[in-house]
Amino acid sequence: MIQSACLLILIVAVAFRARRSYRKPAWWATVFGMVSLATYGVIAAPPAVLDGLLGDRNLLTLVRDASAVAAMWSFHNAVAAERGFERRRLPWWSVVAAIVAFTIPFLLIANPGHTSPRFVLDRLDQPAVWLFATLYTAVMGIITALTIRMLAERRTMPTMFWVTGLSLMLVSDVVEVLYLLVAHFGPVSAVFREHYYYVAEVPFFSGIFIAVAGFIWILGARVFWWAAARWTVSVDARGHGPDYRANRVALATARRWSNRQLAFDSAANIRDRVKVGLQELPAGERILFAVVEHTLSNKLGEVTP
Amino acid sequence: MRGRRQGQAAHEPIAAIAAALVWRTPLPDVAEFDDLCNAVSALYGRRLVFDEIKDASLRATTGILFEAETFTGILVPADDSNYYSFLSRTHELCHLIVRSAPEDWFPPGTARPHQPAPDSRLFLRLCPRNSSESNDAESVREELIVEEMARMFTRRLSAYADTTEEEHFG
Repeated sequence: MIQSACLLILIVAVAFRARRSYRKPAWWATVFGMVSLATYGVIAAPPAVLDGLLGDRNLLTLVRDASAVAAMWSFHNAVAAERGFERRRLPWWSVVAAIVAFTIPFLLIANPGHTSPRFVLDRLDQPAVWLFATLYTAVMGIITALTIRMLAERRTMPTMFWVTGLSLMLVSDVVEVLYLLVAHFGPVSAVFREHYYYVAEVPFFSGIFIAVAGFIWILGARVFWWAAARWTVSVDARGHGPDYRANRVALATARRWSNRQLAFDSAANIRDRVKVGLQELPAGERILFAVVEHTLSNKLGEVTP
Repeated sequence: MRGRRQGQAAHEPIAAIAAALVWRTPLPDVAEFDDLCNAVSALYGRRLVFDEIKDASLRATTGILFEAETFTGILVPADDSNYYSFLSRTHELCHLIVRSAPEDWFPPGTARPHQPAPDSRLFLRLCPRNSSESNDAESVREELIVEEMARMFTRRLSAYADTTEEEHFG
């Protein structure tokens, strides 16, 4: 259920951002994340069907893990670019090396069977299974930790979502590696293996859910300012000529002004006229205008020198 | 200074003067409002002190500029929203730039709006609505220029630009 919810959010995020963002590492992170989650099954295509398309030898598990690593690697590099840590960007070959590292033991697994949530659990006696699962989890954990280190240097609302989500994922990685170590090498019973096999899933998927909420927050802010800008220009246009609204939006587009800037200019014009009694706003619009002004002021922070 | 509502009607010469003054004001590549204050203070040659006026009837007035013995004061209404106050403060700073910018900052064929003598009463630039001063053509021209400048500075300071997170992840 939680996988389906995450997948739905990712599909929405990818579709909304495709046109503008397909060149950005962050968008590819979302695409790879979507592919990885889709391996848990999409509508009318459960994992067994998807695995059948790949030859019915459990390659779906490999696709899931490889795309998850690619997603985390892309997100890491997107954060590095956004935060100005160009020297911390991971080279392209590092993701290839990481994926090859756990693909080799995966291909050495005897009788990989069909895709199954119990794939690792049922074969954990095999060193190749332990090595495959441990390498994959460790790679994910290392990239996650490196990303958290960069994100933690600045606190914004999306960053808080990402740091919280990635931290949960890191906890799940540590728990998973410890579990694999104990379950493979330790003198543990089958009941122990069975009981603790899924323990890392809750923090992992909760972490993904929260991290994706960071993207949704940014999308929400964009939609808010797009609508707020057009609404304030429309209200502002009442004090100008009939072509004012279209001209302002065209000017803003041509000069690449942000929607916040467009809203700011028109909000100041409206406030000017309201102050001197040249324009009155109905009660509903007064509330809406107060929200826009409040948000503009919040964005600015304290300006008094 | 006088209400800024005429600012959006700026025509090309006004916009050209405003753009020239804004982009010739020396600021760091990534500048904030403090950097603008420092640049204007250096250009004008005086320390700037901001304060707010409470319960003042300054409905159509962006703010008040006055010269004290040791500093230049800028007063803005305390009741205004932060964003509106920011624009008012920037507007007042732009008056000081217009007043003190070197002649070669103005584009060829344009001139600095006529400035009152330093000892004139007009040097206290309080221009309330319906003041006779606001009907003076040179004052009106200056108001148009500085309001255009104030809005250009908000863009140069990236006060309302998209966040880097929006650029990379949006």
